[in-house]
Amino acid sequence: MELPNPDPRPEGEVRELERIWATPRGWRMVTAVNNTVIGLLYIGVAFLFFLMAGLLAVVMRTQLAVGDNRLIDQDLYNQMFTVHGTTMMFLFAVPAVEALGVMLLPQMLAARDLPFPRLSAFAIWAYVVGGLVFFSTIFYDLAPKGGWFMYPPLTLMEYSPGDNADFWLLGIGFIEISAIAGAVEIVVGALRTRPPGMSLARMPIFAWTMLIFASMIMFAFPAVILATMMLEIERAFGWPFFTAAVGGDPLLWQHLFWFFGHPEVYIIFLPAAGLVSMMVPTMARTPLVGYHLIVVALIGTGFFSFGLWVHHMFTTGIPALSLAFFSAASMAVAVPSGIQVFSWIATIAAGRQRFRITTASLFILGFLFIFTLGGLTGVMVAMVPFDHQVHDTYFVVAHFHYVLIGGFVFPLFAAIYYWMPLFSRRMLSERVGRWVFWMMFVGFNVTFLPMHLTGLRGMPRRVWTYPGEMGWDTLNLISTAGTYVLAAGILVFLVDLAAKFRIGNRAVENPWGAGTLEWLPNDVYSTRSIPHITSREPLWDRPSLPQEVRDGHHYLPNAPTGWRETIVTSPIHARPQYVIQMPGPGWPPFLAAVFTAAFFLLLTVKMVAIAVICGVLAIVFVLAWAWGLDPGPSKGMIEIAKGVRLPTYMSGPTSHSWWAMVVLMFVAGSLYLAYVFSYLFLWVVSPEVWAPAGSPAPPPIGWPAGSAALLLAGSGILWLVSRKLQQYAASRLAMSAALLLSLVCLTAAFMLETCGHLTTGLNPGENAYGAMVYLGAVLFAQLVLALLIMGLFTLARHLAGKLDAVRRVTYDNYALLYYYTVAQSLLGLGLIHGFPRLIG
Amino acid sequence: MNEPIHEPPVAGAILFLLAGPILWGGHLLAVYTFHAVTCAVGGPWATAVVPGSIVAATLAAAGALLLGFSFPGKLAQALRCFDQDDSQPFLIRAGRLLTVLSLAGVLWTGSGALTLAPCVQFR
Repeated sequence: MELPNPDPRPEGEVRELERIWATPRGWRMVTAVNNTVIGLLYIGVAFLFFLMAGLLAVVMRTQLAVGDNRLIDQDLYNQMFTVHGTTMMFLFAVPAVEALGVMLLPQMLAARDLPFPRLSAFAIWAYVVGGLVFFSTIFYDLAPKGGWFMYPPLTLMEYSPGDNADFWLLGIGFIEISAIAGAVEIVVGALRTRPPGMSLARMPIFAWTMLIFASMIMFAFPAVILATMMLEIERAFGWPFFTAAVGGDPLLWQHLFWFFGHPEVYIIFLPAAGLVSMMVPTMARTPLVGYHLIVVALIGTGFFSFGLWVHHMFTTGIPALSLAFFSAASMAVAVPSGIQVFSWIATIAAGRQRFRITTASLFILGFLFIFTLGGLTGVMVAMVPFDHQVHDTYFVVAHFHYVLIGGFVFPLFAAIYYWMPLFSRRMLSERVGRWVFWMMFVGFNVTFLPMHLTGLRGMPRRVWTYPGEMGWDTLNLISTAGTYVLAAGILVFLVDLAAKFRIGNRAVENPWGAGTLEWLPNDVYSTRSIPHITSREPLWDRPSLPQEVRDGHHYLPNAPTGWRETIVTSPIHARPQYVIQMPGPGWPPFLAAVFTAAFFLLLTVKMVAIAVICGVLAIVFVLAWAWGLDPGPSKGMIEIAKGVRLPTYMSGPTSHSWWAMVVLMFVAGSLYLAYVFSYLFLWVVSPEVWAPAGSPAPPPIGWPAGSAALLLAGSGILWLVSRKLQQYAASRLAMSAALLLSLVCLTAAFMLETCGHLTTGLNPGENAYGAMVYLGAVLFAQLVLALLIMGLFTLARHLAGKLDAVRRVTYDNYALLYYYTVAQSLLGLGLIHGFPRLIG
Repeated sequence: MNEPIHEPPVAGAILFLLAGPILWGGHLLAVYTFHAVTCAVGGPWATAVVPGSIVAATLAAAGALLLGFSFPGKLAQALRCFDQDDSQPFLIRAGRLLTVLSLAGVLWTGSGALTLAPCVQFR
């Protein structure tokens, strides 16, 4: 292969890269956006939550060690298991996966950073502040008590008064927003910042898993965001979505929650499987067996996982045939999971040399054993009659801990030992690591294996104590003893971590002899030059690659724009398309995150005025941050390799910002589909409260027709401006008038829709129909508010001379969201006004 | 400035790759919704129409999947998702394997209609 930059590089390029990518020091560290810095913070905080939630587990196991124990009271126990589960799922597992993505993905793709570094920083700080406040509620008797799934009616205001449940609903709601921000980053990063030549067929398995992980977040999280909105609105304003007496249904919560909750398990497991698929070939010293099959299995698992949610609801009274559909899907998902397990075993067996036993390997083998057992009990609970027997017993607790600890925590520890040399000057001790593994492995199995029996003997979940004569004492005592061994193993790990972990450049370049790009020579700017890729294990197939990269013989060995930059490639074949200029450190993402967290948390404790001020400040800082983006084409074309010149600016469907907006539109679309499902579900459950028989008939057709006409007029204006942006941008008056007119149309359409229902006397608090109609208006209002901000921002940029026919990213994003809003609103008008007429 | 290297739209490749799973998801959603709504709002006629409709939907979905498996080139052509590159065999192979997985899922799901009484609860 001919080198992209065969000639010797001029002096000073590396120093220039170091200057541009330097990490802020001292108290300015919080403004850092480099993926290696904020990624470390992200994984560190996620691990802190793992430890704190683990401590809660130790206390709970101590309480359960013997029957009739009174170590802690029932109320605190309820708070503990709720915070334990919530923290492990929302504050540890998903953030830890995103942290690994932020830390490792750019290195594996040899990109300088992910495409939206400030978005990553925002997501991380929002999570850190919000997560710590949420967890601290356990110390003030303010923690939620409804279990990590917060089922109504238990969590309705009548049965859960006080702010405890609100901390869950608002706290988790915005942590989900943080997860979605991370997902946008990862989808665009995995598809658009791969090195030249790294087609989809050569993409590392971890990148595949992160792509699928982020895509699953896009479609799964909106369902629970809608559910949390609905429950919070019902608690705060009495709109009865979940109150059966007036047409609501608590089962709607279960549908929405588990449509998120079951994929969530695979959202956690798939990236862990990706980590294993990266480590196993290195330790077996042979390429992964069945790369294609693993990719197929990952996609299949990701997709199938959305068809399993009802298996959490087998005992809710759904007809048997419907249960059979989901039972079949639950068993079918074992097939792609099995494919992966057999691929790993085959890779271990295929190595010409013996599988290397390191601490990371031990954790992988432990994962295989534990996860396979968890998978087998998963098939057992997928069978409806068996599930009826063990539902809500400790059998289920044992099953999901086998799946989640086996499927995520063990691979995570393997990953920490394996990738530690990338981020630390010293490696962790292999000798101590073996102690850590065996204590965790033995401790885990001693804790959770007996729980299968405890469950089969009938011990229910979520009980704070039990009568001593039930015959559960011995098994519980064994489980508690195992917990202490498991905790001791983690303590030994922490001691080793404290002794060995030192942030800095790695001491050994590639200690395991791996074949993938993260083991190229790295610095704050990632790799000196971005390599051209011709295989899946480039370091094995081209041993000279590290030196070539270090000497700047591949792409973009310097910083021609004088700013942070990386190459954007095409999504399928990874052909270079343009060079993206990325923002550096700055205060706005940090402050926007802090004020976003403050807005949600203050709202929880009903400090509305201060919350609104914080919300406004958050928006101001987001706008300040966005003002510096869209640098325009002033840098022209630059040379990234000999004879290869790329533009430094891109707008339209090829640009990364367009992609990010499309991802956001998918998220918004998923949320709206969840709303449509909820509307139809409640109609099926309670048709008697639906208009026109059970509620005021919808307003005359003129109201929705007027609203629709205004929406179409607004999008028509924007379409016209898009086509002739050159002419419009040349005239301040024409452009300003067009933008303002589009906003007026949108706002008027919203007002018309809302006022129409008000004129009929429909009351959102009266029954589920009224609540669903006005919820549609709330969802419309959210988009109108977002578009008002974006439209005025676009106008401001135009007036400041930062928007023209070429420099048009801000306008394109506004127009894209506007078109989406029109499409969603037209669908909504059809549903809200058409459906009652159809059934009437 | 705004003329990047041409590549077929990624949406076509994604649709091609996910055609099987999308069909599986569509089938599951269709039979579940049909069954739930029919049993919830239907009268005695519901028990008569449910099994046959589900079997018919399953056979239709299975037929479509078999077509997709047998003629992936035609589907790729229709979606205009490939040009000449080494990703093409990878995507075709992956797409076909996903179709096989989806076929298993569809048949597994639909088979319940042959053995279980419609609109009856377990308890």
